[in-house]
Amino acid sequence: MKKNIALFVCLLVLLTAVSAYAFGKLQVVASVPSLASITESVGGDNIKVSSITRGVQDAHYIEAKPSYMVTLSRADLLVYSGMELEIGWLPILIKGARNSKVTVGSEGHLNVAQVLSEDEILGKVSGEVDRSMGDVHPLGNPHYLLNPYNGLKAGRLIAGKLAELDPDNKDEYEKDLEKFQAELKAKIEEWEKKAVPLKGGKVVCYHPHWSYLLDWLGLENDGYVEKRPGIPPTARDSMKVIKKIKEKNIPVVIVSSWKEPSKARKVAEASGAELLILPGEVGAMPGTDSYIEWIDYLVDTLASSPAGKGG
Amino acid sequence: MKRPCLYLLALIVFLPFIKASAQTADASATGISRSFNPAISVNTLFYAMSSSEDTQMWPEMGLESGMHLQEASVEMTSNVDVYLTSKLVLAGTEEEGIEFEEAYVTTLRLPVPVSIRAGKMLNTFGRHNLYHLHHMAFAEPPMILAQVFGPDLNEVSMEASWLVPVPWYMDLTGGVLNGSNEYLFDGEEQDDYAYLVHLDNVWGLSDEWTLRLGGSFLTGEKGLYYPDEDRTPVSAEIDEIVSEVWGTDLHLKWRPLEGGKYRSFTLQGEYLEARLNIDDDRTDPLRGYFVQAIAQFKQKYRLQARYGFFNRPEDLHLYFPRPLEAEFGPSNDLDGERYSFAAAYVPTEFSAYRIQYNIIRVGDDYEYQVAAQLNVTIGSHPAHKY
Repeated sequence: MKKNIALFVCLLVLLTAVSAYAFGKLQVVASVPSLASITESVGGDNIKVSSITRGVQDAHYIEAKPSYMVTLSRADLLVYSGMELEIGWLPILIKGARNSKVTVGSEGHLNVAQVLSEDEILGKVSGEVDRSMGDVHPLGNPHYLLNPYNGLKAGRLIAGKLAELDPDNKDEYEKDLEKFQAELKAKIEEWEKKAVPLKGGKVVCYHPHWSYLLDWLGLENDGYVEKRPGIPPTARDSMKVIKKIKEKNIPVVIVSSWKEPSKARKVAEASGAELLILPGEVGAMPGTDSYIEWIDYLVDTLASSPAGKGG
Repeated sequence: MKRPCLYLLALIVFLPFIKASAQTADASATGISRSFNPAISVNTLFYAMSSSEDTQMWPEMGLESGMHLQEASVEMTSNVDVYLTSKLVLAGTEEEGIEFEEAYVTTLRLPVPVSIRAGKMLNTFGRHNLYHLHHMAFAEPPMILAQVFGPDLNEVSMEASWLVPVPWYMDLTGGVLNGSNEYLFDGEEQDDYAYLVHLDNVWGLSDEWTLRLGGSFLTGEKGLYYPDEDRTPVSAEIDEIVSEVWGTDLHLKWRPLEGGKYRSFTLQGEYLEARLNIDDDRTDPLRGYFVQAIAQFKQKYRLQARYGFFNRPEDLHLYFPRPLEAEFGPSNDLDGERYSFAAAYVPTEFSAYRIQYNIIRVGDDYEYQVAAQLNVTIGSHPAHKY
């Protein structure tokens, strides 16, 4: 019996050692699909990427499932959005994964929010913050990849980190980065042409999710259906928004695909605006399977909406 | 007269500079830095309960009639340095004052997939024992946990957890406990430690369904006395008593990928057996279980039900003297059960309102309770484990 137990323990220890070297490719875990897609683009065939969350999930409200810990326990690199987007689950996963490669301060721990300078951060709350203000992000809006210029910066940062962790393939990462940047820059030019009619247009959003996208496209966000972020609006709040939309003739109400749309729909119907349900992340809707496809979908949908037709 | 005027003039002239220097002074001069303060949160639980009986059958393990501050707890968490993180939980009740519920450190980075906790902690026996009171789905802990641990197992101890490299999540925990729980341990010698083993398995059955199955075993030398107020010695003919507790836990959860914020379903249960090995002669076990279901049908609303049962054989009544012996007689083979039904309104992660109805039976006596509980958290509270 003792022999069998000893054999079992030896086998498990061997498995631990083998699992660390079982994959020739660099194992990358991204917190959200948009980062996974960018990482895949700049990492090419030398890496294997997985995303903890799916596009249809709201990354603010993920449970720290032990299966995610298993994924993270095998990672060489963790790539995440930061700015407290993942505060409800990523710390538990890092702790549970027991992988010293990806703990805070380790080489394989990459907070992509560092690509933003202070003045590029939108939605940063100045002064005192408390929870009577709703689900505010004190460090600012973490959905910065909705501006593709930030996607360019993220690609550069991630490619640099991959080259640092895997110097043998540095040249290939640089090539893949160049290819990604060239493709994205060409698309940005195309998107900005499409978005010309949107400039100066007004929209109302359900939740402050879209700030970076609207800012980039020159659309003005004229209020939110949620009076306080993360707190569903009361009937009175909705009435106020409906009145405003009617008075200002705002043509579009935007809601993320992962939000329950009924309240936004009621506001849109009562005010005569068009409701746009937009994919909140890569993979949230068909035709948004990569970062570029996602932004493509967003720009196309907005440009062909009443917001892009002068109301 | 001239001199005070000169002083006043000098003060007026230099005042702006004094103010300016105060503004620029930092911790290097003041020695007061808030940069590394721990994340602090305070949780408070209030309840009001109305009972069918004037005297509750089991007040120390459940709820009492009237309005009560059930618990106020302060939690502080912070990384100690590059290698350790630390957590401190001070919990206070109206009757028992403030106690250190937890105060421990956890390793942050070891070269192997192991983490080590050391200090006073809620020990890894099953799942429910790891919950603080404010994290529980019902207003009070399950009957069987209250019977065996009274109501939780939080010992000064050291635990090591290994993430076993298998395709699913398998966590093997081993622990050495100080063994101070007066019902289970409190051995005669200072080095009479208790030992704990827990195996936790989690399988993702699909993207939406998760199954958790665990087993725990705990054993340790017990003091040769009864856990009454006088610590009455047991028979002089008894040389050694060893406590043995084993348990199994099951947790099944459904949360859809799309709209997971709005709907979920959890089924959870644990079975525990505690027995004494008195001079190599094992007693019949104190045993029991609970099963609870929680259905979240909107973002803020949940319906919950729980059933709990325990049975305490006659020869254990002196070692596990709950519920009150005065009420039920000292030498009965005693069993009890509790049905609980609750509706919870959870407007945010930081506040919850719960209405709960309990039907309690101990022996042949019944009690009916209606309770309302308020659960609020302020400050920076770390997320709870899955």
